[in-house]
Amino acid sequence: MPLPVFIAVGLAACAVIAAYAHWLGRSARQTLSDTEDALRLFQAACPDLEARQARLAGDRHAALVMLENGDAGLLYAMGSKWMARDLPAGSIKAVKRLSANRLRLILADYTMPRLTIALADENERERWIEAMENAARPPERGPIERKATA
Amino acid sequence: MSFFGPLLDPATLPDPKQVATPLFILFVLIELTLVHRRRLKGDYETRDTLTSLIMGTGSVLGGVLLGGLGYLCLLGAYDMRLTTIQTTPLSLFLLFLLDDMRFYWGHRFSHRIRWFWADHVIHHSSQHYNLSTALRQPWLSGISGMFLLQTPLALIGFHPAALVFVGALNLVYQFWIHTEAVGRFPRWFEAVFNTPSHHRVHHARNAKYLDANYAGTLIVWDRLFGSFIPEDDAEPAEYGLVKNLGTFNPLRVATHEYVGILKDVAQRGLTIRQRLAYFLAPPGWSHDGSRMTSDELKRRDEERKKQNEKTTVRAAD
Ligand SMILES: [Zn+2]
Ligand SMILES: [Zn+2]
Repeated sequence: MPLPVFIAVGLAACAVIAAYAHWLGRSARQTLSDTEDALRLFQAACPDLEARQARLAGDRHAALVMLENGDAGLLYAMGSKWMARDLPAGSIKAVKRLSANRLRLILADYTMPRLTIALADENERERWIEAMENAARPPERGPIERKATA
Repeated sequence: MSFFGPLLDPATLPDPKQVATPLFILFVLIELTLVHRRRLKGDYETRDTLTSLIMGTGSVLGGVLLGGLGYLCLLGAYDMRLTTIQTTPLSLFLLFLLDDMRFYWGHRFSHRIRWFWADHVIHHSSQHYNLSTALRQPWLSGISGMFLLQTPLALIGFHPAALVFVGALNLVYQFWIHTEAVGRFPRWFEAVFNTPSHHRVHHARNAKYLDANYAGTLIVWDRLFGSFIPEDDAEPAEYGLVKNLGTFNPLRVATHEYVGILKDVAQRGLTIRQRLAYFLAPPGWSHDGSRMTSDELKRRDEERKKQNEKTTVRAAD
């Protein structure tokens, strides 16, 4: 099969399978039941960080976690799985208020460039921004990612 | 006809991946349907599956666009061959076994050397483990230099087209082991072949399971070279990376570790040795010790488990 045809057929197959998965209802995002749930999931993903408190997003697809070291952390539903990150100084490039209850975070992380978070109301939105203030500040030294890959 | 059976023209060997692609699609659809109906164990998520499939399609394109350099090197090595090994069914079988060991070492290097990991990490970047994960393949393998491991086989006298054929056959074998639907096979099969159970361990991010079961088709290489870890029912595998991705964007999935390396290497105040180490040291290495390699993660996990055991015993007393 010539390459362009193979690629066209491949992309068509991608679209068909994705549409089928969506039609089956496999696009639903994971939801947090309560703050305990958020802390447990964050701790499991980042065992080196001490999670103290959590605030749930309005749609329960994300949680802001306050860490023992004073930084904030974030738990975010990536489809049916979770992704967790700490947010040290310099990790947030910009915070955009999309609406009264929606925030967009632009992050200094190539593997997590932007996230949209739905919050209960304007008050809650401002509380989140306040809690992430340190993460939006430039780091004291050069940005050194604290990550381990394996 | 030769001693090893009918002679084959290496140039006419089919591309096993292209031949198998319709079956890959069919089996993904079947697994997805049965998982959804709870007839099979597993998990599918739309965007994750779509990303895996796009990565698979892109890897075919990348292979064609970037694979030429590697193939030219193999042809160069073949020109300097010690002898000529005719392409026959038996010689292909022998080559498959030898190449399977080549795959083992290449895969092991891919987990232990960050430059190669930057290419291979793509295959491990899904938090799901299903047949679509098998198709989540890198786009830039052609520039990784991994083809160098195939050159000894070309130097011995195996035709480069035969090398490409058995390499692709190995990848086709590995498709079906990316599933949670199968528990374990009879003991003799699990002892010899790479199976879903062994490969689940390989895709796990649990510290205990990191850097194990590098096999392609035969798990015997892991048993032989000391990297085999059996699946422990008491510790189910959690799939993905130590630090999972926060994006489904295929372009970012394909390039994220290369970007990570560049960022690290470009840091101010590093020695040449440290910059080189960001390419060649194991993933997770850092000049200031702020990250952890898999060895360190494993050590810490063992310490924690021992500590927990002590606490449990004390509590029981
Ligand atoms: Zn691997
Ligand atoms: Zn795999």
